[in-house]
Amino acid sequence: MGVLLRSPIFMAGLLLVGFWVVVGIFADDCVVRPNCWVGGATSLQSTPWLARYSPYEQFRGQIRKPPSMEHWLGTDSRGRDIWARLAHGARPILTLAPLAVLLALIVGGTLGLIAGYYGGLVDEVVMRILDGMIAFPQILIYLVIIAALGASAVNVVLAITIAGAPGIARLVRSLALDIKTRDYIAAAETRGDPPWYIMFVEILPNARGPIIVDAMLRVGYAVFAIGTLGFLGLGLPPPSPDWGSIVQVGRTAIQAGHPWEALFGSLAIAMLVVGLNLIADGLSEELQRYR
Amino acid sequence: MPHAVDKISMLAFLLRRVALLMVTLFVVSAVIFAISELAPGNIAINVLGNTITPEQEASFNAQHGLDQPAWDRYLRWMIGSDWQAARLVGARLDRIVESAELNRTGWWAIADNGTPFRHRSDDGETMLRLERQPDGTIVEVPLGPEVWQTNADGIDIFWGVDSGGRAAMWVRGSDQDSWVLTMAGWTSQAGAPRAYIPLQKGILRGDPGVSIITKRPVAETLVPRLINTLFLAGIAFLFIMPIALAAGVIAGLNQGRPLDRVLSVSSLVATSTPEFASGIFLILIFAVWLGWFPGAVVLPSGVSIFDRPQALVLPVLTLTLIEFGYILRVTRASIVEVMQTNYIRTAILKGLPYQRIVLRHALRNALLAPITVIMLHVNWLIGGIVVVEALFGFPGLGRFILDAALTKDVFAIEAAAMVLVMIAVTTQLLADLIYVYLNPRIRFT
Amino acid sequence: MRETSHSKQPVVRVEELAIGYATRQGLVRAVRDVSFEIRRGETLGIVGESGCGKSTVAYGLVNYLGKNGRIVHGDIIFQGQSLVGRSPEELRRLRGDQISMVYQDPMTSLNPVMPIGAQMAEVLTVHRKMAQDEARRRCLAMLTKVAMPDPEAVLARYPHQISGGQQQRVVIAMALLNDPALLIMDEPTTALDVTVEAAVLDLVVQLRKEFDTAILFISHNLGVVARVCDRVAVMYAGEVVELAPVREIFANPRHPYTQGLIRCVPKIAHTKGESVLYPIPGRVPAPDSLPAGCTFEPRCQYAIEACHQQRVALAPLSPSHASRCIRSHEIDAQAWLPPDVEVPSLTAVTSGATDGPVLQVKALNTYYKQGGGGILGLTKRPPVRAVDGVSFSVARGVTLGIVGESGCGKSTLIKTVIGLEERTAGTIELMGVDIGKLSRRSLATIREMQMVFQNPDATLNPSYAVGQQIARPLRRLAGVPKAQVRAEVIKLLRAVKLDEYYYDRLPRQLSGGEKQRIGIARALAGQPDVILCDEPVSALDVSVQAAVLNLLGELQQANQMTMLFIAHDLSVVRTITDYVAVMYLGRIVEIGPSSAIYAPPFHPYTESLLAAVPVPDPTVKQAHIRLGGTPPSPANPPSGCRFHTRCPRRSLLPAGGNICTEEEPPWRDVASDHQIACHLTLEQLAAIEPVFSFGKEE
Repeated sequence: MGVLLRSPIFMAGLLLVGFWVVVGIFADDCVVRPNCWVGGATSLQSTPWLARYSPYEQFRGQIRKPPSMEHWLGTDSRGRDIWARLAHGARPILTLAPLAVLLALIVGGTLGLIAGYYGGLVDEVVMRILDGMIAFPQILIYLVIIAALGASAVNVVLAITIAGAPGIARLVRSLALDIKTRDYIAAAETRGDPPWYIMFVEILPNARGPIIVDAMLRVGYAVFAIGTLGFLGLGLPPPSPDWGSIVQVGRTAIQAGHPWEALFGSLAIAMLVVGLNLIADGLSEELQRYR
Repeated sequence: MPHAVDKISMLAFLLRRVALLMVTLFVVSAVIFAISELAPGNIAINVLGNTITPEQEASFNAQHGLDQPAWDRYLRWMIGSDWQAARLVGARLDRIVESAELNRTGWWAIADNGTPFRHRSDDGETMLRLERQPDGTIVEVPLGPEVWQTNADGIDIFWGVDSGGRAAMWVRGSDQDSWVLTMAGWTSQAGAPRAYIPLQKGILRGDPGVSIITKRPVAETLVPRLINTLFLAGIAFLFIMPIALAAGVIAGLNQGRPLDRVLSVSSLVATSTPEFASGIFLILIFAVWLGWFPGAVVLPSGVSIFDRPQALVLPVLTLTLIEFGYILRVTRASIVEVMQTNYIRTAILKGLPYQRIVLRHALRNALLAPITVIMLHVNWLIGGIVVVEALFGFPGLGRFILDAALTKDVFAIEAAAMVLVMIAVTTQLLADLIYVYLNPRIRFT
Repeated sequence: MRETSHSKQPVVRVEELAIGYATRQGLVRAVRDVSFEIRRGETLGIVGESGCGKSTVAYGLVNYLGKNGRIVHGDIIFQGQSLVGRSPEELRRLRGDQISMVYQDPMTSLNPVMPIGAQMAEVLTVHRKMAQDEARRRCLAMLTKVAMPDPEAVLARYPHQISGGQQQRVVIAMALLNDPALLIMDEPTTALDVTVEAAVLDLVVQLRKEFDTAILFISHNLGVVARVCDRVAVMYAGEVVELAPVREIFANPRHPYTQGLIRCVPKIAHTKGESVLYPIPGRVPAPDSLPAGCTFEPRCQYAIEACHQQRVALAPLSPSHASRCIRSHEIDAQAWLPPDVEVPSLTAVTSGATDGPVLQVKALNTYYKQGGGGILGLTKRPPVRAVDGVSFSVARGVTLGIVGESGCGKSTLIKTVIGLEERTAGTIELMGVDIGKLSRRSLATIREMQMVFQNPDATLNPSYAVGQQIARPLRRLAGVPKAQVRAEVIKLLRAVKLDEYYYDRLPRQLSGGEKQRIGIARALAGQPDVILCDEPVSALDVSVQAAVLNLLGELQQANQMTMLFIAHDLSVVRTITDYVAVMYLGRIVEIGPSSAIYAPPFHPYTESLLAAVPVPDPTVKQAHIRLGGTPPSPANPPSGCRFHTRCPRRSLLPAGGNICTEEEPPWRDVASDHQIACHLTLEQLAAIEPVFSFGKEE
């Protein structure tokens, strides 16, 4: 761990991601008043902290203003504070992306372990299906699922999980195929340990390094995907502060001489994805050096 | 002699892969069909809104064949329904050009003398035969009662082609109403057919049916969009591949030096920034600030994208940023790995000049991994295309499928999805072939 | 081209060479104060255990030290000119032309996507500006010289299409194309089977005579060095500790490390009863934490106060013999007495049939299915007959060794016995009861049979502490209650001569020998009756190997376990086993007492194996028998006697041994417990000359 702190790539990534994590957590005082996030923001008004304003508040006469002391990043076409919207927008993206990846890890990891450890026909069948899914462009999975089921946070997570699981399964399978040839697996088999024990206790812990790096990358992809879905109008329904839809709405204002919404929305998402990728890069570099 | 064996095994490999590709496409078609037509949610309500009455919904479903069993609908979608309907109608069915200037076509029954005709009944008793004259006018010919045929249940029925270009079954004495949403709102027509078979040739014959939103054949709108997109993606891919590969090799050979650091970090930023964000940056810089290129693709009707190449610059640039970064990184990693192998050590200790080591020994091995990975990345490129086309208003397949998804135009989604999957799977096959060609360890076993 | 002036000048002279690597902890000197010279037509061997810096010296000579390595001191004089400080371009011109190299792993040393001909020819076209067709002719001639079968076809092939031995011949031929003045061979036979190794070593000796090249030959194997080298430098912890002519090194070693090394190598002449291996205590210090004085002092039984005061220089004892020890002149290897550590004396069990056999294997087949071939992969390919009709039985307390080259099926055999592979046919009886596949065995059966694995780096799960890994079989197989597990684990650690300290260690903190000990402790946890060892010492350095072998033998004897012991090294097998089975292409061709099998009558294949074994004693004469051809595929074994395609003794039979191709050989009983499967009669087999003739035995 200490070595990681000396890797400039990793630290740069940590800084970028850390910024949005802090902003997201402390956007308002909900972090110290569980009522307002458990009970829903409607019943109890939260007090803005880092966000300075509520993301829904519409300031009269403040339509599409450039950055100023009152509104750090300007205001949008409805007179809402862009910084407040971005700060609150960090929350859904920073919870949904890791959640989707975690689900994909559980599903894909289990499938990959089973395919890799058992091999033979099981492997053949599982991998054929997953290869078919990988052949499927991810955007299509998103579009088809969202078009069929409608846009909501749950469906976004579902779509990302389905799109991500085959790739994870493939990675875990290849790791399991390698690790299962090691003698300590044979030792476990020759003392009669059951398959689940060998898969989850003997194989899985030794695959953790590449899996962690991959998961980090995938959180990046998930943020990427959530932003893209929002931009395409398939993300969280309005008026939720969704980064992708902020850019989508903002881009129409560019020609009208108001680039701020689109610019800052794009910057926010770029910062977060680049940060996550830098962390993954730093991790894998250290992992390789460690080997 | 070894070459003859080689060719046979290559052919076998190719056959096996094509067979596998067919199976994959078949499975994918079933999956796409299942998700888009059988998923929860009602197509009629999606299209017409949730204020429709049950009668209107039933009529809509019947007219679009949505009341048929899933299996039949899938078969029609795949292999068409015209051959089946032609037997019932007792005449050849074909799609003819109805209006050259509007580029509109429709299904008609064709008489033996070549006259296209359709049917109508105003009262459920007398069938009218509508014969289309060469000048486009319609002549109504009443048909005698002998046209009704008694079926197994003792009911008199008549199979013909209705004015919407569908094969339809009229029942004698029925006063069925059909509901149609027109510009003027819902209108009902009496003497309507009882059952419909929407006519289409099936995707295997290049006809994915008629859009339930635009009422136009999907293939007609899809093909020009596809050409635009292939043009856009083709430029992006061909333009960027060689440059990115070369940059990756250069970065890898200078591993750890400042040049590599700069290339690696900037490629990471380029490849991880979502297209809509990098597109915005490019628009702000090149369209708003510098004013060099248009920030949107605006094409008046009749103007093709080929007439306005400058409009392509920013979309292509946005697409290439991600690909450039990605290819560079994959190539860099591969060359770094290859340069550490024992055979490169052998080449160095053989006293070969550096250039020769790189060009003759490292390059071919180092390009093996990226080629397959890059080709797989075509899937990613497709995602990028949707975003870029949406961002720049580019009239391509990406925006087509996005619009179809947003308006729930199922037949259009299905068709576009099949085309995209076909492109993706074919590139992967191509990647496999290139890999095998480059790798003698697989070629000679 | 080169003038053949017989100058007295050495081809290469290395003076006080020191090579350092820049690490995060600073500069680490992997090699220090190394000096030697090699003359034309001379072979200098460098021996030492892993990590002693011998390969670093080799790569230092060609200045191929990676990004962080460099020569920090000393000089390399090559043909009168210093190589240190030369420009990269000048060095490049020397490499592959004047100085060339042969590597350990021939498969990975050749470019997989280039035809062999192209890889060879470019050495000539680049250095000699030779035309393509002339280069090709020369490559062809060189391949013929290294006895490559069908050289014309080989030129067009890719590396993966020829065998490992042939690949190494290609590498050697490539190295010799420009008639280099210095040839560096880095463990050139380590990756090869013993019979292939013997043939490659013959080639080295013959080529040296023919080309009059100076050769630097690096190996960890004393036997290999004894066979090909004129002089030997023994390296320890980055220094040359002794340098002498080859006979002198083995007959009169002066440095305590050299003596220890020779004492811990199993000797082919010794049987289980006679052999005593004395391991060197302790372990090699890491290059960044060297002792202040003599580097060997912490492990040396002769160490005195003066030894850890200051560095010791390599001092000449005679014009040709130098040693880095301040007591060299007073230490006499002959007068050495075993130190006061427990070294087990093993007694051979000659006729073990006291009660019925513990393990009996009858007509065992293990076939592997092969993936389909042909168009659409539908054509069936024949299965690989890894084990094909093997029968044997082992009594309680008896050790059976199984030897054979890679691919002979010995590993598959014991994996089938323990249940890791599924048998195709036959029976495996444990104490008279047939045991099925692993998933159907009861815990009681599983407990009776345990295994010790080959690779120390893979035998332990890297994610768990040592204690946990021994605890698992204790809980599972021995049913030890949770509260007592720790005490039992420590007991087992003690049994393999490790202490409690190791309980919480992770595998990566242990040395190879320690990992193997933990692996043995883990196998013993269930107190098995039968223990299967799959090359347990082949990945270890000799000094560690001796200790592990002693431990295994001792535990086996103390617990009266039945042991199957796989090895490719016949000397190792002989020191630890009572009986030996020799396998070839999935079959046992000879089985008998270890003492009997090393002298005629023996199977012609056994004879070839014995003739190929590198013996670490230059005075021992070995019969020159080399196997021709390549081993047939076990998917398509030859008819009749499987060995007939390569058998050197087939000509003793009438009609050129037609019978060998047609009929399976009969079992010939030498004694009640010694059988040979051969068409030759016992009389004919007994008349064969012994492989070994010992010059003077100590």
